Amino acid sequence: MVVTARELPALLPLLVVALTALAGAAMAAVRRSHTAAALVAGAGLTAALACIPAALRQAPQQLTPLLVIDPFGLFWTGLIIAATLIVVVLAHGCFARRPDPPVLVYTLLPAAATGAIAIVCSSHFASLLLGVAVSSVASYGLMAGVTTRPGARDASVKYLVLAAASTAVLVLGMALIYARLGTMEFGRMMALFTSRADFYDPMLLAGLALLVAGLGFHAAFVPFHPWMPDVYEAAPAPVAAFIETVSKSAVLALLIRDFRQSPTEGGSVYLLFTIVAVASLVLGNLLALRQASLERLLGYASIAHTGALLVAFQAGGRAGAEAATFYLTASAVAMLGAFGSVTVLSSGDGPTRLEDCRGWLRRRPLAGGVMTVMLLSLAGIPLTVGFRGIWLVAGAARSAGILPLLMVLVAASVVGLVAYLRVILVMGRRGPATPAGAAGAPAAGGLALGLLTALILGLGVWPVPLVDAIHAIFNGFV
Amino acid sequence: MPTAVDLAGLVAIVATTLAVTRARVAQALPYLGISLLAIAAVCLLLGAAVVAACEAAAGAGLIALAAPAVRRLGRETGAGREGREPGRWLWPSLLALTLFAAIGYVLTHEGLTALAGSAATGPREVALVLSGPYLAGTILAVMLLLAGLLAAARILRPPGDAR
Amino acid sequence: MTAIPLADGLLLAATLFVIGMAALMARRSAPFLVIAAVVMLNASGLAFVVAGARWGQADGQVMALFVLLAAAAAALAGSALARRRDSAEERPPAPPPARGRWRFLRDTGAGQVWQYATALAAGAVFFVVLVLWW
Repeated sequence: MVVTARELPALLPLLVVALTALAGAAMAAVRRSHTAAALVAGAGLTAALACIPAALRQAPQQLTPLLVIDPFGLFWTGLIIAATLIVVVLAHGCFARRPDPPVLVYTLLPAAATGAIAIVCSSHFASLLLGVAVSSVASYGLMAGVTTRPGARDASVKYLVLAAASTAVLVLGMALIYARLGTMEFGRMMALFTSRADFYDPMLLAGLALLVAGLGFHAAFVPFHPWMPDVYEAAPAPVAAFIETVSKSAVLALLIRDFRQSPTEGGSVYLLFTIVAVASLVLGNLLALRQASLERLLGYASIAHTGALLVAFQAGGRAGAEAATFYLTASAVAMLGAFGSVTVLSSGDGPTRLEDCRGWLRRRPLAGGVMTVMLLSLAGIPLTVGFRGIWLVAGAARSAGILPLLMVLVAASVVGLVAYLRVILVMGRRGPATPAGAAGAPAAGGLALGLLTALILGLGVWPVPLVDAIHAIFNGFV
Repeated sequence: MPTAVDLAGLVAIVATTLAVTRARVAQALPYLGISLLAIAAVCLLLGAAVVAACEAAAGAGLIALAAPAVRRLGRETGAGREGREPGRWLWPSLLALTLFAAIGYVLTHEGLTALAGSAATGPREVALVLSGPYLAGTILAVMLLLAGLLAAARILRPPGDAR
Repeated sequence: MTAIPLADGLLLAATLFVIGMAALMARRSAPFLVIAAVVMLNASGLAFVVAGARWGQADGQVMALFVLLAAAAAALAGSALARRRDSAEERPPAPPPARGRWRFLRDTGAGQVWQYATALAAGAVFFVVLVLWW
């Protein structure tokens, strides 16, 4: 037996989330009650969240070759569980109106979160592969099983087939690297990279490129992005929020962790990421400007944010990694809030066209205000956490001396600002007399949105706690 | 032995190509099954008995699934007893026979021990590794199956069923 | 035990992978897209078996098992999805086709799987070529 009782606390968050999914499945077989299922999932996720301090006391710890439980992994584990909890709350509010509420959603959400946790804690190809597979398979169910929107089946097929194909690309890359190096542990791979001169071996490099391409689909950077707006348009808003904040952030967090210190400065992988960062920034922001539906706009905004994150990534070093972590956290919170307020504001039957947003600010000042704050944070306006994020990224890029990338970042941000302001202006316009949306937010959903808004504004004014926490996380690495 | 691997690999390529170029799913499924069996044969000859067994189970399952689908196809196209017409099974059978010949050749000439895998990669070793270093992977694999089953259950629900 | 060269085994896996990728780009119907994805996953699993045999470790086989499981889960969900028929109101209205040289900048509607599969394949090939060429 490899995991002893003493090491168990470190594994507890992952285990409790997995058990929540199993309990949800068992309960769905016995009794199909929507609220009860949501309560079980909520209780399980809260318990998992409560296990994190205990796990943190054990960190850093290597649990079998597959998982490493360190402060960085636990930080993301906490964020993933908290985001899943908020999505559960939002989903309950959103689906309770349906005549046949989807009970299995509250099983699939923790299952997908288990995969995401495995991704951020992985130190081995096996856990990375399984994490990606679990979170994408559970996302197929969330996406295809729940939505009733126009084009739902097409978008689901698209998502499923492309996710499976890109997992195959990822696995082929892993196999090539394994065939060359003979190990699948990230730590030993890094040691081999640095100790051996034959790093520029074609098989290894091809494997690395395929690995990045396979992860690129799940992280949705250009040229692997186009599924994202389509899926967000067809998925119910809580599911889109989940895919955005949990599945995507987990893969990006993994990139921050494992490519942070790869000795490829100036090498071909570095060039690759530069091209990807610029393309994502430019294409994401320009296309966000042109979208007629709110969900598609948020999808392209997400692609642009991935590009900005990769700029921090390119800055490299500890400052770059810290900036990237802060930025990713900030944009995940804002995206969660944005999709959350879409859940509350929109009728939920189809994609929200921009003209549907007319009058939101007048008719529903609270929820519309939340949406405005989230959009301002995504745009990087001062006093929001998004501004702090982009400030840190720009600072890291400046001190690393990558001025061309910095200039692209600034120019693209201006374009993005126009895209977000357009939505806010439409929301402020006088709307139709008959409210099209649902009546009133459920109390729990409103509370969650209030919490997110408080986080955005609070950390925007006083970001020191988060900056300090992220700084402490990276102390373990160096 | 290398000849046998080459033969199985060739069968895999031919069967896969035929599978993805068919006009109807029912026609593609037998070829896909043969493709899986051929990959299983390659794995077996490379000493990966456990993987071979799983691939073969998947392939056999697909062929079992294909038989009723082919029959249904015959009914749908209104071609009478077309589904039971031997021609449709000719090429899959030939490919399967080739595979059988390849494995049979190795078995008769080199014996069972040739397929047992080396000490480091035999079935016992795989099982030990699965319950030892890859324990967390096994837990995640359970979650993977659960997620797949639940996703399928949710997608295939009858309308109006809260599931 | 068997002297199968690594390159030959990987070549077989790569060939199967490319067949799957080509099918993903060429086919239009949902069941065949799922078949193509499963073919690709299986090919990658085979690559792991070959790599594991080269190092004489059980790890390659374990990974291949996990990949097989992932393929099975994807096939399960995919075949469920392919069986489901759209009800009338779920069927999407035909999107207006976007044409012209800059259509990728004007495209505001959903695309097709084959377009995205082509992007995936082209991106992967571009990545590999760029990394190798640099």
